[in-house]
Amino acid sequence: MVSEISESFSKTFKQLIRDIKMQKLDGSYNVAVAVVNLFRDLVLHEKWNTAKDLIFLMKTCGKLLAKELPLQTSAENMIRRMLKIVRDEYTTACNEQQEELDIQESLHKIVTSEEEIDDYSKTVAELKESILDHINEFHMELETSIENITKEAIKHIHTSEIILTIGKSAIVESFLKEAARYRKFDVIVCECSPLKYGQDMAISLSNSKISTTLIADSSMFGIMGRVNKVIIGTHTVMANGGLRAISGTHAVALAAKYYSVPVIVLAGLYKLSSQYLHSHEDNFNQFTSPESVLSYSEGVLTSSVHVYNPMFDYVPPELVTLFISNAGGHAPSYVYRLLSEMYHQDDNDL
Amino acid sequence: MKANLEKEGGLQAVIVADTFNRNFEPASSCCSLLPLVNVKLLDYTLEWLNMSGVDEVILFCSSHVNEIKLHLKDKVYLSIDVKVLVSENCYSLGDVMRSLDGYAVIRNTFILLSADVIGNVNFVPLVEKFKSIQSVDKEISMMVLFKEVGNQRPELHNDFIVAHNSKNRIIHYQVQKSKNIELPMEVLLEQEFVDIRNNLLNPGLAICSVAVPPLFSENFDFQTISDFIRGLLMNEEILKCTVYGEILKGNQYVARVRDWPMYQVISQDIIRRWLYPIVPDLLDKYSYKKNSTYVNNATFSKGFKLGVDVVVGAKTKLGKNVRIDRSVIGNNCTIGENVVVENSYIFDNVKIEENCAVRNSVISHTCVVKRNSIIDSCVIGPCITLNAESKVNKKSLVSKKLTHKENLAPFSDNCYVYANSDSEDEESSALVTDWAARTNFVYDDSTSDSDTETVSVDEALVEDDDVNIFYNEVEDSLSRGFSEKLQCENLVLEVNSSRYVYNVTVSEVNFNVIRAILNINLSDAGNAKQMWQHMESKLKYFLPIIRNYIKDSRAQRDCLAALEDVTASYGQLKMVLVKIINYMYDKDVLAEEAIVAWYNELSNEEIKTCLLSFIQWLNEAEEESDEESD
Repeated sequence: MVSEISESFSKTFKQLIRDIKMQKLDGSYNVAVAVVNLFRDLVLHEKWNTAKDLIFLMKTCGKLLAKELPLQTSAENMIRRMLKIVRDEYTTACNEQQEELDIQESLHKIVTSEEEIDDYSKTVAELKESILDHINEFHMELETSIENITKEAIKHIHTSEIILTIGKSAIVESFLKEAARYRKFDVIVCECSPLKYGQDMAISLSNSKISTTLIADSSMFGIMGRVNKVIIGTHTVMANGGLRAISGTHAVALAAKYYSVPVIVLAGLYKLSSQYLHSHEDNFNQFTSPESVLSYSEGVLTSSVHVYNPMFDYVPPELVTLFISNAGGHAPSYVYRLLSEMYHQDDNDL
Repeated sequence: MKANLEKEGGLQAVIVADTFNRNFEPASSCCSLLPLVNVKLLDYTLEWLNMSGVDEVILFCSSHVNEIKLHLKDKVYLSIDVKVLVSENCYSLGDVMRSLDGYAVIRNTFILLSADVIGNVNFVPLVEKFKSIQSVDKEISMMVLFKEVGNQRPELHNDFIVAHNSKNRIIHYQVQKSKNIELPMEVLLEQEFVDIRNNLLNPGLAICSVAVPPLFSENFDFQTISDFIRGLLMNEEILKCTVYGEILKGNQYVARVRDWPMYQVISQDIIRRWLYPIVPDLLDKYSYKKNSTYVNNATFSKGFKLGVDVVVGAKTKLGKNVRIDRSVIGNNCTIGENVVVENSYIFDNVKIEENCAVRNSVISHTCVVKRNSIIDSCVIGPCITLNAESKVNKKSLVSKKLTHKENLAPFSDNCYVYANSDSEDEESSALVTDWAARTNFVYDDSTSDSDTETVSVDEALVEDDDVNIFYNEVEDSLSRGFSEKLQCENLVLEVNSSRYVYNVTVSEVNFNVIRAILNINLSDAGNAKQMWQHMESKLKYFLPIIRNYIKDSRAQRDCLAALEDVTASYGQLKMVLVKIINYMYDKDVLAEEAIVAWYNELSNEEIKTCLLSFIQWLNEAEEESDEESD
């Protein structure tokens, strides 16, 4: 039986896509939460009988989402996580059922039953409830992810250290503020031109009584020698441990490498993507308005000059020292392991 | 902030779907459905309002209602509520506002824009600003949004002057007619701080209070937002309304797709991402490549070459060795081998056969261009088939099926040269040439000098447009009155009514009335004697009119200036000039001080010598009269 997506769901789905695209809904955390809520509705309200139906439905939506929002990796990641949840719950439920029927296992039975599990087409009692419970649990995990990361702060930031960061990242902000409750240290913020998010960050930090210095991006290399740690946020963690982060980050990471300063990347697990960088041109970067580079009021100049204003940089994994996620600290080489833990291999291609 | 708005029933926006002009014919008769970079104009507007904090959209249509409704049907992804209101007999924005007043759908502060305005501005902070001004100044009725464009871009038509005071209140607003700016003294005297701008683009976008639709109803002569602003400023005391201006900063982009040159500029702006996040790769499934090229699922063949600023739509097939530069190609098009497309806009489902060249042109949807054709600086209407080897240059073509007009010059089978209307024929062809000229301006520096020249000529033409029409009307009515011997009082009424229609100043009226009187049947006269007879009869007949207008010393100066002007353009009048002035002096129309003062300032030596004896006589007469009075 092939299930169809109901009209009302498809409408809210399309609206969500449009809102994310047009940046009405902004920030990878907000996107992740919105997608989880959407799929909870899908599990709750759409018609499906077996896990197979549900997976089919989710994959159909997921494919569309991935196609429409190639840059919002957190949306795609959430679909993979949710598919994994459905698969896990089904497997557990099947195992339990089998145990009830026949506690004695033979080699033959294990082989045959595994084949059945792969199909996901058995009707399992209370599958919906258990999936919903698990999704709610996951939702909680998502909500507490920032808190869990900030808890690590005092392990990494020590008294009278100089920390360098770039741009404005919500997670780095709360991480530094948490550390400032216990220790006294200096923060240097690169302004992250031309988007200049660093300025907001510096204001926010100095408002919470952290000694903050805002510097131009060009002086970042000069100052790096005095820095003890670089702590940055990222948009996405790629499957090889590389980063897609705000433009300017690559320069920071290279400078840090030169001076052997550790680079610590804060990222919730929802930012972990199963994608690799294959081309800088196709759907890796986002180009914003040239206004901040060359103002429209410059007149004639704007029609004769091409201005590119990319939002992201790719940072190769060898420039990253440590990832701190809500599951603790990991080296970039460990990312592949996290990936296989979090996502099911059948879902890598949606 | 947002919660506050919601309590009041959400933010409303009114889109006027019609533009009340035919600037984009024959390519598209409905401006809101005109494709711009392969997306309909209306979609840009809706998309923008959807992301910018608006909750309800009122779409006001007066034509093409079914097409627009059909188009709206599959816009399910919009989270805003779109309401379509229809009123068939609206001919201007003013009419729309008046019927909007009748519908009574406006609950609170609303945003007013027309469907050809596109942008990426977030309205929530602007509406907040409007409300905070409102809490101080209860009389605020409108906040007009401007975009700073720099003053070296003539194609953006930044031809108006706005004066702001320190609170961003507009205290003066005028369309710039010449290179000189005229400001009333009180603008400078009454304010501590004045900001005078002519580098702004007025896209016709405003945040309005609930009082605006009733104001339009009360003042039935308001046709556009500019009329509204000027009207309010003129009658500030009576209407008790103020207008504020806001200059959009930073990434905020707005513009109005008014005509083909603007269409070209804005297409380029979209392609170069000024409108971010409303860009092709986010609106549709385009991928953004280097040199600002966008490709969506198109099929390419060997040897193709894409230049800069190119957009190729979905399912389009490009043949071998196709070269495209600075152009937009629609969806489902087929481009044959060795075709060159430069600086052109090709809409959906167009087929261009091999070895064609298309430059500086617009080809509307479902056209077929047969092989070896060359198209330059043309606008080609929908569903036209151009024969093989045809060469079209600087023409607008339309197919017979889609036009109701008769008497169109045939171009080839089922295809006619389009004229906007009888009198505007030159204008539409001028538009196409203009299009090509502008293109050079944008891309080719070497021609920029000559181009600025054309622009200034244009300006000069535009400058006295209204006054010229006024003069023609005055001359018509006066010569009719003269030949039919009508009552002079009635002629005065006629002149006055034309004066109000074209809004010309008093001194321009005086000047033009005298000029018209002098010019009537001027060339008929032969020698000096005949001419004077003719002139005398005219002056005698028109004396009541002359007396009516020429009352004070200022008016006398205008009158003499008119005499000078006519004499300068029609030399024979010199023969009777003295007699005319003497006649007017005798009839107490002109005072001797005015004549002498005018004479002293005269720069035209020929006229001066003509008048020499008369002035001497005048001076003597003056002395005599002085002696007498002693």
